Amino acid sequence: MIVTRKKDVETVKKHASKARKVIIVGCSECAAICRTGGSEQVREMAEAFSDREVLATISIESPCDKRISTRDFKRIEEELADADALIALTCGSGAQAISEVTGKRVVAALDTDFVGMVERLGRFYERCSHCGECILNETALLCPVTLCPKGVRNGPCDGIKGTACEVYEDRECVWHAIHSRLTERGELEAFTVYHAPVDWSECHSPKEAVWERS
Amino acid sequence: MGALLTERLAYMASIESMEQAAALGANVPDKTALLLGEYGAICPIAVLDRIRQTLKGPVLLELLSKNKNRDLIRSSIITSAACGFQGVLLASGIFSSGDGKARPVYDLDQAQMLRLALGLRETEAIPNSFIIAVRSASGNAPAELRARWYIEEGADYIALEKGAVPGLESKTLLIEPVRPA
Repeated sequence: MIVTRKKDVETVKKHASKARKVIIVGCSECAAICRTGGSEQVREMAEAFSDREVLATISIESPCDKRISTRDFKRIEEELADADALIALTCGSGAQAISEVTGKRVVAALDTDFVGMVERLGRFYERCSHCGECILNETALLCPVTLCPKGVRNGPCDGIKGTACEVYEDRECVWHAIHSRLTERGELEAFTVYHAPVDWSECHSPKEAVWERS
Repeated sequence: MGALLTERLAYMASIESMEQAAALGANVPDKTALLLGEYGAICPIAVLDRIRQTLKGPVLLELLSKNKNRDLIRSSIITSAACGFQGVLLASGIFSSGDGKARPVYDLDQAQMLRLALGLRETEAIPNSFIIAVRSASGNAPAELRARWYIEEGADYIALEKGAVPGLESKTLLIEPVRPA
């Protein structure tokens, strides 16, 4: 799930200062779970724009999916044609997809934080950095690239303090946790398997995944 | 493979001026190699080399992976050897420094730095006598396992601030911070 944070409302309004007629767009998937772009937040944003004309509010199932956005915006075609700007309570991918689908000025109302694991509502944790070279099978399913602040792929680093991380002293060093888990599993030989540096020549932004037609 | 006739590294982590470094160097006991750190106001290798030239005895450069990509680490190792440093101590570096807002770069970890340095020595990009040491930790199983790995891979030494790794005593340099008198 993509974890997002709300931007300050005044900042959002400043970016939409030239827009007199707006549409508020929410996301009923990730941003709804984060309570940054659900129906309640859409309503709050509409109230914040009460000094303008709010032509419509809409919650799209996955605004980052251009097919779904295209379909759902057809429900408000007239309002869309009349709108000066769309206020997107979505992740960055969603905001850009909405921009491409509508051709309208879009103001991003959220900051995109990370791809998160959901423990329960309000407890989201980053577990994957989508580095493109996954070593989870050698690290007892604990990702050191993400769970180590230094992203050390062959750890621990020289800063480990007892069992604790040098950076977050209240947390266990992930390489200490990997060592413990591998020991429990009788797989300690995996601990010193060498992991080469990430090949960034394969990881330039923007990444794409395009299926070839067979 | 490099060899250092000492068990101690007098460590100058934060060098703020040439004068301070020279004064510190004068206080270092015999049979102790000096270790110049990259922290502090003075850090480019060329400047650290000017300090090195004012000091007696072998001098190693503490080379941090922090805020360097692999290209800069490679050139830093070669440059330090070309300048006349006797070796490098490969360290990761403190995560947050300065105003703490810069994006920390950790392109290589210490194991990857070690392989890079050993490769440079193998291809004679740096002298065979150039010492390659790795800063390590002790007192817990994963750190000691990693320290053994460094030595098995070909590191000349591990360097510790405290404690010891059983069985690696002859390959261990103890880091002793030195401060102005």
